[in-house]
Amino acid sequence: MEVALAIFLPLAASIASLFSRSEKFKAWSVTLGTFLSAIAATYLYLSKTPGVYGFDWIQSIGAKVEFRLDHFSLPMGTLVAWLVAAISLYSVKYMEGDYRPGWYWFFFGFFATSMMIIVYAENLWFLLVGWEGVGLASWALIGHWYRDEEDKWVGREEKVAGVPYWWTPSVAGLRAVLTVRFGDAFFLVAIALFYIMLGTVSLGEMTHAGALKTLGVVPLLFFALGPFTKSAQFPFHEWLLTAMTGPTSVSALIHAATMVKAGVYVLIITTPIFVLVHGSQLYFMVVTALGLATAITATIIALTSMEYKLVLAGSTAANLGIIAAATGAAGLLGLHGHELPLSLAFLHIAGHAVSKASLFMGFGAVIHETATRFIGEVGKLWRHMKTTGVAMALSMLSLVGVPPFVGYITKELALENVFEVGHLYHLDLLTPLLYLLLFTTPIYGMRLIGLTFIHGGEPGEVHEAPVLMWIPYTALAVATVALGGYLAIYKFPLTDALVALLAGLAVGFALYIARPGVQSKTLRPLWLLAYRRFYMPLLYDGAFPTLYSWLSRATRVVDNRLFDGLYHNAIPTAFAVLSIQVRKFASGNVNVYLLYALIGILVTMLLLML
Amino acid sequence: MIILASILTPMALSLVAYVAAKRSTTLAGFISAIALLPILIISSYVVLSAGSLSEGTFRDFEILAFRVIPFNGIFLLTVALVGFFVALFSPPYMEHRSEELGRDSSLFYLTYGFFLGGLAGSFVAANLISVYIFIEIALIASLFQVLYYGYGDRVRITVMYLVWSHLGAFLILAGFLLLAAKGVYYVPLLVESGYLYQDVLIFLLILVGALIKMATLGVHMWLPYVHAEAPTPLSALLSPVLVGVGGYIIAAVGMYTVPAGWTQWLVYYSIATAIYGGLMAFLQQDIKRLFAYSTVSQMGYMLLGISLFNTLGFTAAALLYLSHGLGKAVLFMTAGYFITHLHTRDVKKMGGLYGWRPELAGAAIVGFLNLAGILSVGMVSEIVLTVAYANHFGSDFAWYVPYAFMLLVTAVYAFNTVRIVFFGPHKREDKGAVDMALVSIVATAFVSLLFFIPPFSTALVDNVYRFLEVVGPWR
Repeated sequence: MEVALAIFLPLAASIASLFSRSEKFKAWSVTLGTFLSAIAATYLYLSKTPGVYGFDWIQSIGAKVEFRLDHFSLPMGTLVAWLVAAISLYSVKYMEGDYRPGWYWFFFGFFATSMMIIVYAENLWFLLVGWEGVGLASWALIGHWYRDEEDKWVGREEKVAGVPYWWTPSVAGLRAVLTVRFGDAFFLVAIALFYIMLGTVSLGEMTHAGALKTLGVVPLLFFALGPFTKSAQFPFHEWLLTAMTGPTSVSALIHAATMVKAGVYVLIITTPIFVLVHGSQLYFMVVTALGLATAITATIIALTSMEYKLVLAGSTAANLGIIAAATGAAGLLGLHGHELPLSLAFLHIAGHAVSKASLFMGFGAVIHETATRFIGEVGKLWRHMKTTGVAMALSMLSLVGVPPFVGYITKELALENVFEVGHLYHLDLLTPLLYLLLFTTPIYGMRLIGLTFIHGGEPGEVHEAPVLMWIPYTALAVATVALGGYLAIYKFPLTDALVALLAGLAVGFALYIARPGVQSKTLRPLWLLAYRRFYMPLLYDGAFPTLYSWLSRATRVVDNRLFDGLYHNAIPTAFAVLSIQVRKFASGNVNVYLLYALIGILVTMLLLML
Repeated sequence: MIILASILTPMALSLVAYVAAKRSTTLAGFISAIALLPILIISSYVVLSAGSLSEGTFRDFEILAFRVIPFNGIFLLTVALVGFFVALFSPPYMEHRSEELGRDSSLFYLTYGFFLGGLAGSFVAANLISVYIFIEIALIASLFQVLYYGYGDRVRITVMYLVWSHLGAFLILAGFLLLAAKGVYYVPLLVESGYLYQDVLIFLLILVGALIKMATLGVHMWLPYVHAEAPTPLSALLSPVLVGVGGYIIAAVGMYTVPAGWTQWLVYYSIATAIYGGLMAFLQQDIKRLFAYSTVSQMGYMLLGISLFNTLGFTAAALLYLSHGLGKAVLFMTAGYFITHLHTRDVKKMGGLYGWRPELAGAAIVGFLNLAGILSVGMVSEIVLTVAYANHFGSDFAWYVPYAFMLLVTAVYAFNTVRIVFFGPHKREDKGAVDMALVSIVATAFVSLLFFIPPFSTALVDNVYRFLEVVGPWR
């Protein structure tokens, strides 16, 4: 019962919000729903015995409405619910006066419930409900400002190789939903295959299914496409970057608590099952490799982006990459007889979520006040937004992984898995690659803080954010320190990697805080490559739509020329010609008719004689 | 007599609606809707409680033999539900159309009851010849509606509809007659006859006839013309409900004579149809033609369920009929709402319409979600279809790629259309009217969501599945 409340209270509040025209009622009812959900999740965490609860849904496909309470779902549920509640509280003020409150608040609660389903679902069909739910909600909220006003875009109005390099909210929403739908199609197929091959899709039962060992790696790879696209793993990370067209509170929701975290969470909870499948090494290698590729690509993008939110989006993809890589690495270690170090990957979900939610909300306030989304256009905000400045600095230090913040501990622990795999498989290049990643990360953090709060253009009329807005993100910023201290009691990793990190921090400090404005013409081509996001939009906004359009047009040619032409031109014309020919027999000449009659009689007699 | 009476009720009351329409279109709409309640009650009872109703002795050649089990019950339920909501939707539209044509809507309501009674009859009649007769009733009734209230070159479109629909119907009749000549008088699925025998000619006649009715790839060309030019309430019924009759006939009759090895080819053909229809829908500028091509695509999905030739596949086909029925009815009714209030079918002239009438946008999105298989009864259909597909192809993994592409193609036209029609800068300052049409659209969308949650989805799938395990041709 408590778990049902934790999951469905936000949705119930969302539905209730539809019945009032009052914006305040909508905002506060959904916020109340999310807070009650958080309280229920906390109660579950503190008091409920782990186990599986639920009932049958559709027997003929093994679907059950089952809730799994265990060491992953209970803390994850609590984390998600409180983050959602904090963002909801922030949104009350942030979205005040918006032109589409009904849409926003409905999908807000719907989003929360969908994510909570994923967190607690034991049965994969039930999980799929939440999975589709977060996909739909993210589409709805990324495209929230459906009128496509210019100040809501991502990018400037320019074309690269003929491809538009700006994204309106409605286009960004379409991009997101179609990328995710691609992965979901295979995700769906994989679950169906699990059911056919194993006879069950309940996670606990799958572990004990006799046929699990012989399942094969292909269904696992199909399955992984779901989390890869949801969690914006390379090369599916593009949608996440343009998802910044949504309200900043939505970005906080997607990046910290819901959508993208769903993907890596599912990767984690399925690892103990997939590790039992023969040949799953390939699967875990793919997960690790793509995770690393995402982490590096996205970090470089974050380093060069000119928009506040895009930097944060890049850093989200980077951290998701680290979590995915740590999960894949955990699987690989498990295959080699180690105990599955999944909690190391799992912890970073929390470590990243707390700082990222805070950052998005804080920079939302910055965008709100400065009325620009571009870095450096308005700066020196420290003088006017001290609380926000401190909160953002704390959260950023945690995000980039500076000790003793929570981000440092969880990231280091997650990367331990990857380092370990590097040793195990003798991957000599892996260690320098990870050092490079750790070195680069603090630079984008310092850049964003430096150019927003310390340097940059002179601000005009700028004020500190309203209390209702800064309380949630300041509280979370404080939490990054508190949680870091709490975790440090149990484990405080001290490795060589710290040197790379501190070096990066020093470089970032020098370049963007102490001596800003250093530029290099030599590095400009490299900067441009990263600024253009490695030209991946040419694929998603150029090649794919063009190919699809060509395919559709070719189909239309077939449709018009072949089918329409045949049925509605060729056949009627043939009939008309035939009709004209046949009509010639009806000449009106009696002699000719007599001749026809004679021929007819003769032919008939001939047939009779035969 | 309950089943027969429920089918005859809409036909009988259509005479009352005819008289009423001369005074009040709204009253005629209500009468037409109420006339469908008996069918709605019977079908809901059978589907939700796993019941079964029979009338007749089923001995020799009994023309008035009827049976409703959950499988055909779903088809019946769809006819009743969609018919009910479209009847309530129709008055504002028909008033608008009547004004345009200078002709009252009485003939529309006179034929409406016959059309739906005929459709319902074709699903519950057990005798093959009566199935054909009921189809003919529905066809002729709808012919008059196109002729009197259609758009464009109505006479040409009516002739096209007449020729194509009767070509299909005659082929099916020929197949039925050959079956009757061999002593098979009843719909095999309804009388639990089991697989009959392999017969290439009978199967081909029924298959081709039914495919023409379904408008699958290659024989689909009539559908975009007819469904686009038909009066929109009729389109809302033709597109999801009438074309699906072909699927029902293939499942309930044709597959009982399918030659060995043919189902595999049908599977490929179904996927090709679904992808083809989806690609064509993507490019359409006329919203009714867009929805018509989407129907071609959805019929591909339905045929796929049947072609997989297993219990889950047939279950999926029935569910797809329901989800597509509700979803496409919402969309065609939305197109009707545009015609009534915006006076356009051109997608290019739309855009930003969310602000014009948010409730309409919400309902239309739900309509698309049904087609794309997301969080509506459409998702239940899609899941069941996917499991049936996996059951068929097993570890033949390459075949999942076209399947996934098929799902993606549907999502592309669905979400792209939502973007083009409802999102983007506002083009209008006024607001869409709140009328019965809007209420019907929203209510239909709501029902499609309701069917997604247990206990409805539980009953829909499991009851059909259990019955099919007993009556299916693959035993």
